[in-house]
Amino acid sequence: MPQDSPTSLLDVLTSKKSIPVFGVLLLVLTALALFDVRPEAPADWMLFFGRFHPLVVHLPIGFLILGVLFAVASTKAAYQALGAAVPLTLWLSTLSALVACLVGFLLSTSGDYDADALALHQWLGIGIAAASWLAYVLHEMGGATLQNWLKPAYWTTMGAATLFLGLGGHFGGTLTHGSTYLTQYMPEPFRTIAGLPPREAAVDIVITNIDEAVVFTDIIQPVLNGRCTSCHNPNKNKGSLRLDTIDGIERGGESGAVIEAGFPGTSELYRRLILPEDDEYHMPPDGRRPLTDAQIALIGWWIEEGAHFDAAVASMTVPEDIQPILNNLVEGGSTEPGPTGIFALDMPPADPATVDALRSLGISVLPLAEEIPFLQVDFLNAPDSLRDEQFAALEPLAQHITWLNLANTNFSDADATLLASFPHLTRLHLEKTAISDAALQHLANTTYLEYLNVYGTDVSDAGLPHLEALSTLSSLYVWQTQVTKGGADQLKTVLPDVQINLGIEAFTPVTDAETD
Amino acid sequence: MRPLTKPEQSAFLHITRRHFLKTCTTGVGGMALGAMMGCNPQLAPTPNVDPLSIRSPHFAPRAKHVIFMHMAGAPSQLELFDYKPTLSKLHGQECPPSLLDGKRFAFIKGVPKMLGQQATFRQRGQSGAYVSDHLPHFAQIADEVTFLRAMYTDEFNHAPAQLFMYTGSPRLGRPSMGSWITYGLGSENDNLPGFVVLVSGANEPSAGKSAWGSGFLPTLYQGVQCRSEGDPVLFLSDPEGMPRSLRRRTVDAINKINQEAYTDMGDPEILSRIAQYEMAFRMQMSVPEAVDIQQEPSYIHDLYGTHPGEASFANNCLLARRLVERGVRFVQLFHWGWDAHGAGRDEALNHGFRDRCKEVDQAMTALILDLKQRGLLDETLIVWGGEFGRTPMLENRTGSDNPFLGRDHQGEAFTMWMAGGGVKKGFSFGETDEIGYTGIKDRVHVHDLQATILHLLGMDHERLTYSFQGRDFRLTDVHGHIVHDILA
Repeated sequence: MPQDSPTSLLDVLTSKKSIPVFGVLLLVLTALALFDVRPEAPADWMLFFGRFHPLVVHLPIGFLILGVLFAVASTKAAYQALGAAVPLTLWLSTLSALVACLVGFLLSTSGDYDADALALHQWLGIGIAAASWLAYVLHEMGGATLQNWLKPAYWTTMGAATLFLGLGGHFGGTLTHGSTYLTQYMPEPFRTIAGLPPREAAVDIVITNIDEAVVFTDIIQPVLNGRCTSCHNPNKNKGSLRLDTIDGIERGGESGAVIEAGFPGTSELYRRLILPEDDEYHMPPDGRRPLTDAQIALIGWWIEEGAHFDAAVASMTVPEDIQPILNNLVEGGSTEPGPTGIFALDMPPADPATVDALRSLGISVLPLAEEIPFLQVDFLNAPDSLRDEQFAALEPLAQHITWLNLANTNFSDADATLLASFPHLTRLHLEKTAISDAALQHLANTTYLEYLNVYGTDVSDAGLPHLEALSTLSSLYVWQTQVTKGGADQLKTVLPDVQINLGIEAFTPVTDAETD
Repeated sequence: MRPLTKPEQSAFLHITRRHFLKTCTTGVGGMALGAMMGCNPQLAPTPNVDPLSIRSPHFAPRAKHVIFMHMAGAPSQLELFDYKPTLSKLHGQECPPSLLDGKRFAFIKGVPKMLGQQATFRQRGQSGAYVSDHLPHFAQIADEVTFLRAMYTDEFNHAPAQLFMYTGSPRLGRPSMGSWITYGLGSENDNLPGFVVLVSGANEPSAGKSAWGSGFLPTLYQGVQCRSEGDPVLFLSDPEGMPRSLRRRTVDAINKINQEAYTDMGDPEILSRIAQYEMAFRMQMSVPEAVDIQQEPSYIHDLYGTHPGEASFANNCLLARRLVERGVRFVQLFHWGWDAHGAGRDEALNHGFRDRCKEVDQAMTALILDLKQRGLLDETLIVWGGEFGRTPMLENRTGSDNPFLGRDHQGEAFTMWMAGGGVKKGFSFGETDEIGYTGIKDRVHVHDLQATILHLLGMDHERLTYSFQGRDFRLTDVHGHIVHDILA
């Protein structure tokens, strides 16, 4: 409603009870912030309500922006009616901003946030509440319609509220996600225009010479940067702990030092990593992906060796379990888990036409699993009388075949020359076929072979030496062959990890123990 | 229903069919939009893909076959695998009320007495696992298996618990584990069904044929029951005098009609039927050969303790090995009679229970060793267990001077073991409290077991689903965590 003269401030203050109440709340908040009244150890209820701040804070954002939009729109004749909605949105915006400030204050008692960044966000937040309140008061005094000093005051206040909202909201985001959150994935050319450094890679460690590598800088720090500093950095330091600088690591956090040199078991940094995953103190928390076993082992080793920040690998003792991890890093591997054996090889999928050709012969050909290019080939359903051409038909897929089951076929030594061209075989079933020792010599190239079954064939002790080069062999089945225990033991001296099964030893006789 | 009043009748007369159809348009339009956008993709299976054809699993599997040995009735873990000297010390004492409060028992009433262990336990092999003297053969291979000592289930009666173990729900209607697995992976052998069931013991398991049913999956995936005496598969052989060529022409004619019906109506179950006729025809040749255990040399019969021609668990174990050699994906064995309540001689821990132990001990050990020497144990997962456990308390339905000892049902703690494809050897997972009343550490729920079995076969239990009645179902329903600790 257009007014003739301004409503006096006193009238406004007394007409609506909420206005003085809001004013008092505003003063209380300002006092809390000014005198920094924060307990050292916040009570649980403070943190409980405080955590509603990220939820509640969205309300004043919505109301205030809407209120400003309505106010601006209502200056045009077509949207004049919207002006009636402005006081309500400003009132709601003030109320929700005050609640947001209150719970925000409670949240800040947790001490997880950097004091300077927090102060900036806090005062801007209070500023939003204050500006919103003032805008409401000025509106009620007639600021929207009257032409005197009230009008510029009203619009300035609205503008200030919007400005505080933008800035305060931005700093709130920085507190939660870190200052690099918005720009981390910015693509070129905007990066250089904005003056940002080039994108940092993830936990990729490239070590050329393992002995010269400085353990902390080249091995441990990338792990910390990739997995820990998202919460332990200058802007967000959970538990008052910073892990992005050497100084921060040495200083520790609110419960004291996190590293006790030489003793990983009592170093909080390491202890938290090895807690059970559902323990509330386990790091990383909240169901975030845990560190890999390799990464945890490396950190434990580094602490045990004295947690030196400048020592190279050469100056430390490398225990047995750490050596393979270091070797892996040198070969361009990472401490993150990855596929092993043949699955680490880059292989294009097999040609579908060749696969279909094999299938039409009655041979079962199937990828080992979805998304894996390697194939399992089974002659179970193939007709009994197999011709040489059918075995030879496997040749085009030689690189892809990893599981090959030729059991119960007439596969012979002559056919076995094929096997030399299958480098990626991991499981080979040759039981009950026509092979003998001569066939085994063609297995020299199958360096990934894990399982070999030759039961029920003419293989003997003489054939076993052909297998001595297969360091990945873990299971060998030689029941109903000429292989003896002596031959098997001889192979085990060269390949200690292989399990050789010569058939069941008879049961030890069992006497009935039952009595009624 | 009350009769309509005159004004109501005339009001209804004014609503015509036109009105009805008009108000239905949004709903029907919504259903059409759903179908066009790809809801319920199973409604149109591709007709030229054999539903039993072998398929790739989700990721590289450790095992390709499963032999599941179910001891129907629930074998007493306290007499077989769970050594509890504290319980034996408490023998004869009254059960403290804290163990009875709020629990529902199948038969125990009032305050029962504790029953000490009716077995001698010793530590076996290098792993030191406790196995009682009731399983002397199995005790020799304790180093081959992983024990799950803190299994638990939600059901405490036989039929629901068996359904729960095999279908993931205690109520009828869901597909069984073997059906899910055949649905997901197909069958390796073109001529044999992918899921075979072998039953032994005096009765069929309480859950009946639903324990190997296909539920809402196409009926092609149902378990085929093979018998070890008489006709191996019922109704499979041709009548006297009917040559095979005539049977071929019969099947061709039937399937031609079925194919026309499918083109008319598009019912996917018809495709299942066509495939079943084809499979049955092939099985007529393959099954008699596969189940003919007479062919096996005598040392094999000695090993298993089989008696060809008689139905027995040992025969079924030997049969299971032959089926796995021939590429059958899932072999389910049931042996009935473990429900040792103590209400009669056959149900007593000191009588009938021991007979059951003798019936299974040598055969299951022989199965593991025989598969091992043929190199099949690496690719075959063996699971053994009941549907729930038994109470540490004595169940005494008939009175205090009952010579027969027994225990009641409980679902809080029982033991299962797994061997072969992908599980650790000589490992024990889970612990129960000092009297074996409940699991206290590393408990494994039935759904977790199901998820782990699927995982070992290369299937993600959350991705192997089937859309039915508007939602996706899976074996583990909405539960199940893989037990990674037991994987080798």
